[in-house]
Amino acid sequence: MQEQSSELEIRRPRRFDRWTLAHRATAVGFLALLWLGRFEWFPLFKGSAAATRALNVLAFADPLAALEAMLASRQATLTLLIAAGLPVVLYAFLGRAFCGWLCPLGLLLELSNELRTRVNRFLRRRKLALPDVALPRHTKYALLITFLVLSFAIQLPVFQIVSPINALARSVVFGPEAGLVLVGVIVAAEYVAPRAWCRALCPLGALYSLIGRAALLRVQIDQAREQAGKQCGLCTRSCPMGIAVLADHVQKGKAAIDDPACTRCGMCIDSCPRHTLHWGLSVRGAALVARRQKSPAPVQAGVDQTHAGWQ
Amino acid sequence: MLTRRRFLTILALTLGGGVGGFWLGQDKARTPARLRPPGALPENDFLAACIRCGLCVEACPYHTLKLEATHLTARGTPYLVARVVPCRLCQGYDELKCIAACPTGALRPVKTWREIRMGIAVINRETCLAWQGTPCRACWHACPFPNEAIVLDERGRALVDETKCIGCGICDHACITEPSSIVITPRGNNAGAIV
Repeated sequence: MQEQSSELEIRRPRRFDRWTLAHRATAVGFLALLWLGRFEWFPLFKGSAAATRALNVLAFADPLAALEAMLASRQATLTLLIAAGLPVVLYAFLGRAFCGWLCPLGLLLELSNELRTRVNRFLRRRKLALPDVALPRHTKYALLITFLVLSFAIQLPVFQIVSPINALARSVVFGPEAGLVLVGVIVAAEYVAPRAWCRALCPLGALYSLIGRAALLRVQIDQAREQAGKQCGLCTRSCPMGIAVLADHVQKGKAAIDDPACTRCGMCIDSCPRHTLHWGLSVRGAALVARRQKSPAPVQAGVDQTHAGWQ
Repeated sequence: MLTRRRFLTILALTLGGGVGGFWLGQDKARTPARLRPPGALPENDFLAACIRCGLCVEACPYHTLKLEATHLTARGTPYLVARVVPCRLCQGYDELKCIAACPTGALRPVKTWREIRMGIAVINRETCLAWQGTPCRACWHACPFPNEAIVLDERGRALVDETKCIGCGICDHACITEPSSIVITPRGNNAGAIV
């Protein structure tokens, strides 16, 4: 009775989702800092999504914004190169972590998707379901190139002008602006095509995916625990980017999640009832054999045993 | 896998982006003439270089700068309405705060106030009290360069020296008629000569 094999029957145990909470809290905190920046007595953090300045000294610029501005104005200032270089270096190590941990739109869409899941659950009881349209994930790269070419051609930082990320951040800091309409449209559209913006459309996400291709910080797969598991698929279902977390990687002999779309949100780590996934600074992950030797005892199938010593 | 269907979807979405961009180019021509912060590049270059972060607006100690919230091409760019709050040229501070805050070079450093070219004050002689015969020199009093940017002729009427006026708008703010009889015309794309 407890060993139901049907995917839907497997429910993960209720527990403290530390990474889910952590990345959401960080995004809220980032937005709160930006909002505080509007006051003169708060010099710690100023700016919005396109560029921020900490302690009146250290400036960070959105690399895409900087790239577009440089293409559009056909000039590169040292200030801008340094400001954009810092995030580039950071995310070359951390991958697409901006999307998971800082992006205000990412936060909004994640929470909105949470609501969508609840609505869907409600509908399913009445034998109904929201449509589940999946756009091709490579569209964002095509859009990135389009926006860069356009920026150069019409001499405007095109994505910075239409960006719903900028519009949302600026609306929080400086008061509502017209760009919120697009934010609303995206939120609404994601009830039909879940997480389509971050997965398939966002050019900034595309750029961060490219920057973070060789990122060191990755979700690692504990092979011993993985093999003891039942392939419940909870990690794949938890992934906001729609990555087939274990299924896709284990089959190909990979011990770390190498999908460039991974936003390092950690929700797959939270979702796993067996603690198969964990953070690590390794591009390929630990080899299967080495991992086996390290693990103290052969782990048997069974949630209770694997939980021992963890919480 | 790049199936035919996927390829077409990508193509359609990308073309959509392209059409949107083209439309944006048209929209650029309709950008309202705004008074930009000191040190701003000529309007077209400014719109290209500004990444619309709002750091200059937050840095402005006199709350002069506002962020464009509606018009698409200019959305998120800083501007000021001199009649409401003019550019006080950061009097009492050691630098022009907006320029120091700008991460992009859309606002260029200036060595002295005299290098600033935001716009030119234009006097409406039909409504200006001095030009209509009533003694008034409110603009001349307020101007940061009295007897240079605004000079009084032998009958006490104000005249603007276009080579000296930096376009801060302090005169516009000071004018006692309603509506103001001295208004700043943004340099716009004529601002090329940043001395």
